Amino acid sequence: MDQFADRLARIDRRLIFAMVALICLVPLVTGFSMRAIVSPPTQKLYDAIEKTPPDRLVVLSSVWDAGTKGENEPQTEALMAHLFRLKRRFAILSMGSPQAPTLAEGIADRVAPEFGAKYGEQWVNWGLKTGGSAWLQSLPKDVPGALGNKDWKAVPLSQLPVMKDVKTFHDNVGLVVDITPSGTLGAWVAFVGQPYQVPIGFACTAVMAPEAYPYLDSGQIVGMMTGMAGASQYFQLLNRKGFVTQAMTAQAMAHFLILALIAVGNVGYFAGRRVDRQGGA
Amino acid sequence: MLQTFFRARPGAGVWFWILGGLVFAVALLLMLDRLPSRSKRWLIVVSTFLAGLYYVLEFFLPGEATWYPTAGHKNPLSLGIEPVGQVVQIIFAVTLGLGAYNLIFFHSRNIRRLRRDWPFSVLFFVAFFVMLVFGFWHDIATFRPGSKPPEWVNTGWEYLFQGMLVNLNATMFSLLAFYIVSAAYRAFRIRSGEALVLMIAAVIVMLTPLPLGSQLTNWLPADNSFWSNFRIERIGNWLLTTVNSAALRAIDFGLGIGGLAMALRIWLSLERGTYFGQEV
Repeated sequence: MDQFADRLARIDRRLIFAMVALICLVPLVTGFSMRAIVSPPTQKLYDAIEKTPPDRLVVLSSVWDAGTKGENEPQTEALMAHLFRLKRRFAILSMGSPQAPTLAEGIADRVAPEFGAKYGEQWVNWGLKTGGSAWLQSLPKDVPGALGNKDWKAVPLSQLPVMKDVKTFHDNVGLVVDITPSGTLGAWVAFVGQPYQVPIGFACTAVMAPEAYPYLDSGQIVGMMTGMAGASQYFQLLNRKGFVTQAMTAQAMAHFLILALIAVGNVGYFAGRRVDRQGGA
Repeated sequence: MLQTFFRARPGAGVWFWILGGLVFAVALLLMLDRLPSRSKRWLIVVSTFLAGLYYVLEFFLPGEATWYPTAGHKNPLSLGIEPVGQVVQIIFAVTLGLGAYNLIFFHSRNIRRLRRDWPFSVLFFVAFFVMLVFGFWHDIATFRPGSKPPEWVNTGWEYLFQGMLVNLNATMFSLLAFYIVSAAYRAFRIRSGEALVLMIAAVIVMLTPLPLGSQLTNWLPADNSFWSNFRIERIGNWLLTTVNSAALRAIDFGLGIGGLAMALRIWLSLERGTYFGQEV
C-alpha cells in the first residue's frame, strides 16, 4: 500500500510531459472541439466595439511577440475580423515589441481579403514606437506629429485615406484595445483613457487577467478578452471558425489533466500519511 | 525654434544631416567624457530633474488658461511634447544600439579567447548579420521609397522571420505548459486549511471558462434566484471580480505609493545604489 501511495505521489515528470503532449494532440489532430461559454468581460468588449462610432478610428495596441502567439494572435484576429465586418477604420500600434508590427500586419493581410478591405483605406500600421509612456503622452495630442507623419513603411500619412482628418485622440479615436502579454494597460488608462475620455479595451494573456479586474470593475476598461479562452469566446460571438476553437479544447483538456493529477497527487499524499501514522503507531 | 531644429529634412541632403548629427553626438560625448566626475554627476542630476519637471508640469498644468501667453491660451509646454517624445524615441533607439554593441563585444571576446561554447558565439554573429541584412533589404522601401527587394530576399526573410524566429520564440514559451502541469501536480498538496482554500479557488477559476466545467452545475437554475449563485461560472466570476479585485487593489495601492516614492527619489537624484551612487 505504501508503495502504491508513493507511486501516486511521485509520478515521473517525463510521464506527465507525455500525457500533456498526448492530451493536447487529440483535439488538434481529430478536430474535436467544445463550445465556449462567453464570459461577461468578453461580451462587454464585443459590445464596446459594436458601439464604436463609425466615423472614429479604433487603435489596436499590439504589443506581443511570438512567445504569446497562441493567445494574442487569435485575439488580434478576432478583433480585426470584427472591425472589418463593421467597416470600422483601425490602426495598429506596437510599443516596444519589435516583432509586433509584422505579426499584426500578417494577420490583417490574412483576414482583410474576406471582407474586401484594403491597406490604407480601412487600416494602417503605425509601426514600432519606442519611448514607452513618455512617447505615449505625445500621441493623443497630435497623432500625425507623434508618428512623424508616416506609417511603418514610411508612406506619408496624408496619402492614406484611413488617416484622413485624424488629429487627436479626443476628437478622432473611438476606442483603444491593448493586446498585450505585459503591463502596458496602466499607461493607456493613465495617459489616454482618463485624460482624453477614450474607452480602453483589454486583450491579454491569461496570466495578466487578474491584474486587470480592478480596472474592469471601476469601468476604466470597457471589456476584456482573457487569453485563448477569451479569443475562443470572441470567435463564437462572431460566429467565426478558426484554429483557436480546437486549441482551446486542447487547453481545456490539459486543465482537466491538471485537476486529475492534483487529485491523484493528493490521494497519494494522504494515503502515504496514513501509512506513516500507522507505521509510527 | 523646435521646428527649425527637428523638422524632417528629406532629399539628397538627408545623409549630410545624419553624418552631421553623428559627428556632433560623438564630439558631445567625448566632451562630456572629459568632464570631472563632480560635474558629470551634477549634469545628470540637473538633466534628470529638468526632464522630470517638464513632464510633471505638462501633465498637471491645465491645457488652457487665460494667463498663458501663447496663441489660444494653450499650455506652452504642450507645444514641445511632440519633439520631446521624438527625442525620447531616439534615446531608446540609441539604447538598442548599445545593446547590440554589448552583444557584439561580449561574443567577439568569447571567440577571440576561445572560451567555453565559443561556437555558439559564432552562431550568434551568423544569425545577427543574416537577419540584419535580410531585414534591412526586405524593408528597403522605408529608406528608398519606390525600391523593391528581389523575390529571393522576400522568401529568405519569410523563412528567417516566420519560419525560424517566430517558431523558436513560440516553442520556448510553449515548453512552459509542460512544466506548469508538472509543477501544479507537485505543489498543490493539501497540507493546511489555507492550501485547501487556495486549491478550491484555483479549481473553480480553472473550471469557469471550460464548457465541461459549467456542465457540472448546469442542473442549478440560470436565472437570478438564490441557487443560481452556486453555478460554477458565477462563483468563478465572483472570485475574479470581487475577491481577486479587492486583493489586487490593495496590492496596487501599495505598488502605487512605492512607485511614487521611488519616482521621487530618482527624479530628485536621492537614489543610491548600483546605477545611481557610483562614480561616473
